Formats: sequence, structure tokens, C-alpha cells
Amino acid sequence: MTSGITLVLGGLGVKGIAHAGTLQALSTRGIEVCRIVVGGIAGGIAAHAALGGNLDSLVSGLSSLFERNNARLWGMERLSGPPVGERRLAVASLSYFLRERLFCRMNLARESVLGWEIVDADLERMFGEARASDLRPRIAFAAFDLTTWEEVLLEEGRVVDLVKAAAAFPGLLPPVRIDGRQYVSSTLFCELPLGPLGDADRPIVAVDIPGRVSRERPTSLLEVLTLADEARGDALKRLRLEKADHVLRLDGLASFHWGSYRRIPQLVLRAREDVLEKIDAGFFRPT
Amino acid sequence: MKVGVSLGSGGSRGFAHLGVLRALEDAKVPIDLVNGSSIGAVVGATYALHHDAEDVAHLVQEVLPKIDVGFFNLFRYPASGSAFLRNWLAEAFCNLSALQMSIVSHRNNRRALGLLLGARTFADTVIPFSVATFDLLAGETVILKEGRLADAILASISIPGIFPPVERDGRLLVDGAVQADVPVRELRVEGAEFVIGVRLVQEVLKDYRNGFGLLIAIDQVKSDAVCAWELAAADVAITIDLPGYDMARFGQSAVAMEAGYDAARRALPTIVRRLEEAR
Repeated sequence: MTSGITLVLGGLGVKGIAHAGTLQALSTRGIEVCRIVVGGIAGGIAAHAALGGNLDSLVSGLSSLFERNNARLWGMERLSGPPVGERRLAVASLSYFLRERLFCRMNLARESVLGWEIVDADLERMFGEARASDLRPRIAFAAFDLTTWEEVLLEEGRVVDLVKAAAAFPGLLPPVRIDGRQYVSSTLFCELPLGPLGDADRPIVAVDIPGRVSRERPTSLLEVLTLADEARGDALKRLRLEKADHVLRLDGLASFHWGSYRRIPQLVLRAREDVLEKIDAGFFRPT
Repeated sequence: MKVGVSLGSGGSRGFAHLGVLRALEDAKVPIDLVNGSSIGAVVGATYALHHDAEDVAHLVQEVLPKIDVGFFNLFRYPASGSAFLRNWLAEAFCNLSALQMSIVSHRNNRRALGLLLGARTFADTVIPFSVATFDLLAGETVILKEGRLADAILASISIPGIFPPVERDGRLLVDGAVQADVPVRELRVEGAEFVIGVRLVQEVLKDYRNGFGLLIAIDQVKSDAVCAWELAAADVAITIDLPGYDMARFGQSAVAMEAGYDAARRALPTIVRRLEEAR
């Protein structure tokens, strides 16, 4: 199974950054990947690695990017579910209320809370004029096409545009226009971009990061909507995973949420350890 | 052979279910058990109690228009809008969204369900009936088939964000349509050997004007994909499209009932043929 595999990566929100650890583990053990199909933030990670970039420095750059924009992320961390065992303090609750309210107000007033200006310079520096044809292995970037309202794979054009289309989480970042079409991240629709794949892509190995395990009682309308939306996404992911020939499930990441942006280094480390453990246990051994 | 009918969600479009049930009765298709999500549960419970589509139509038409969910479609609030009222509504919505779990309460729903079902229980139904709900805490579909019908259905009509979740046995229950819009597979578990699934198509609001509009439109597409999987398990799927029909207004029952009746009549040759094959 190690030759010619299609590796499918995704992950809701910051969970996609975990795949820096996945790719490092595969590289450490010499697992060859023929093609990567990727959605969400993991698109930038995979593209960076495919251009020979250093993943450790990228992860550290992403951690500081989120820290710098902490004030603008409007309670995203809280909305995605607090770390297990965390208690709600009055001051934290007030701050959360204000941020959640602002998130709501801004999303009613415009297309997204954040703008691309916060990362444009970094992305241009990282990918410059690189094109999809420069990437090794080949990468198909998954995005949600707002013209056809379908999950699609983008495999041509400037890498920077494709990375942005894959990462443009609706409500958080604006849609990305490529050749007259508007795209957003496909991870809200389905965490793993398995939908557009077919028999020609086999063997398909999907790396699955489980959904949240500790469900705290919601206290606001936004939390209720988020839980319902995640549940629907989990159902669709379960259905789509039936398409994969092999599923590498990173159970160690279950306590991380899509908004756990303060725990990015731990997320990557845990993913690396999980994948190494599974490889050593024979996951990629020929069957 | 036990024939089951699984009725999907769709707000006021649910009147179409009455048309479907009437068409099946007219054609003498047996209905041995029923289940439903959301409005499908409301119509299904009433049918399971009376087992007569004409009686149910009269009762439901009398009671359901009394439900006024009374919410405004703020998700279409325009980015450039500066009208005082729109601004005020948006501010009110934002305060509500951060302070409580829903826009409106269940007060009117309780009243309508009380008029429709009274204190009757699942044990009172003429044919077996079950309700699909979704537990927000466990993240799974939960089937209710014991206790007071009105209590179970209240959970199933709790559209997330619009109506508050319902607490029951340590669970936090909302609309079953979250994962089982038309609960076909769940009806098979209840013993149905031949299932007719009835889906009320929800219009995807693709002309989004803001971040919320976009999030909701994508969620609707996702919901369609999950629903297609549920319906694939039905022996016959009846899909009823009512373009432009406002799912929050319960005053246009005749149009929906007629659409349901026509859709079921069109599906009858397939139903009869597949039933014969299955027997």
C-alpha cells in the first residue's frame, strides 16, 4: 500500500495544522505519497512542505499569527468548546459574551470577521509565484465553489490563491475569487475532501481527526448552532469515510477543538506521535 | 409485510405530508407504522392517533395556523442597510444570540401541541409511532417512543437557534432533522420492512448577503447530502418541492396538501410495483 497512495488531509479550523505533524511523521518513516488531496489550513501546510519548506518554522509562525490576532478572533476558542475541565469564570464569561456578540454583529454586517490582509504578506513571502505544477508531491486543494455549491478540487494556478481558497473558512475569512468563481474552505461542508475522489484515486488513505468528545452544555444560540452544524458535519464525514481504503484515525487529538489556537504546538506534536505510532504498528505495511 | 412511512422536516411545508397520507389511503396502501422529524413528527403523531388522513387534515388545519414562530429573517440583513429598524433588529438578535439559546420560546408550540394531542401518550396510538430527535450533548440521534406525545414532539420541533433545546433524561434534545431529516433508517430499526420516505425540499438561500447567510447556505447543502443518504435507504422516496413557500408561515395549507397529494399519486405506480416485488 505504500506506493502511489492518495493521502487525504483536512480538519476543521486549526485542527488542520496538526497535519504538519502527520507529514513530518510520514517523511521520517520514508512513506511515499503520490498525491495529496487537502482541505482547510492543512492546504498551506502541505504546499509549504511540497515546496521544500521547514514545517517547524511554519508551525511556530502560525502560532504567533493566532496569538497576534487573539483580540480579533471573537471567542472562537470558547465557541469550539473549552478544554476539558475548564470552569467558566464570571470575567471569562463576560469577555466571551462580548466577543461572541461582536462575532455575530460583524457577520451580519459583512462577509467575514477577518480580512486577508492579516496573512497576505506572509503568504506572498512563502509561496511567491509558485504554481501548482511546482508542487511535489502533487496537491489537489479542496474548496467549496459558491457558483455550483459543490466541493471541488483545484489543481492549477498560483499556489497562494489555492491555499487561500482551501483555508477561507466562511464567516471568518472572505471568499477567494479565482478565474471569476468564488471559493471558500470545504471543511465546513465536510472536514475531509473525499467527495470528489473516485476509483482512479485508489488506494485512498484518509487521515481523520475525530470530532469533539467532551460536549459541554451550550449557553448561547451561537453555541447551539455550532454544535448542530458540527454534528451534521460529523455525519457527512462518517459517510464519506466509507470511500477511503484505509483510515488513519488520530484518536490522540480528540481533546483538541477547531478553535484551540493556543495549543497549536501540542496539537502538531501529538499528531506526529500518533502517526509514528501507527506506522510503527504496521499501518502502511503491504497487505 | 410491515409498511412504514417516514415523514421529514420542513416547517409549514409539513401540510404536504397530509396530502401524501391521503393519497396512500385512497390507493389502499397499508400504513403499519410511522415516524417523523420535526413537523413530520407532528403530522405523524396525529395520524398515528387517528389513522385517518381526512380527520387528521381537519384537526391539523384547525390547530397549526395558531403557531406563530414570529421570527424575522435577520440572516438576510444587508451589509449596506442603515434603516433604524433593521439595525435595531440586528442588535437585538446579537444580544439574544449571546445571552440565550434561542430566538423564541416554546410557548406557542406547547399550546398548539396541547390542542392537537392533549395528554395522550405513545401507548394511545392506533399504529406504532416514534419521534426522531437529536441530543446536542452526546451528538447522536435519539428515538423517542414512550411517554406523552406532546413532550417528545416538542423536542423534535426544536429547530436549533430558533426554539430552545428540551431537557429529557439528562439529554439536551433538538430537532431530529440535525442528522435524520427523514428518519428512514430509524424506522427500519422500529420494524418497518418497506419504507416510504417523504422529503420536503428546503430551498437553499444561495443569494447570501453576509457571513451568517453563507454559513447557513452551506449548512443547508450539507443537510441535503446527509438527507440523500437517509433517503437512499427507503424503498420509495417521495420528494416534494414547494419553491417560494415560506416554512415559517402556517396559513397556506391547501397548496402544500395538494402538492403532497400530487407527488404521492405520481409515486403510486412505483410504490405498488415495489410492494408487489417485496412480497
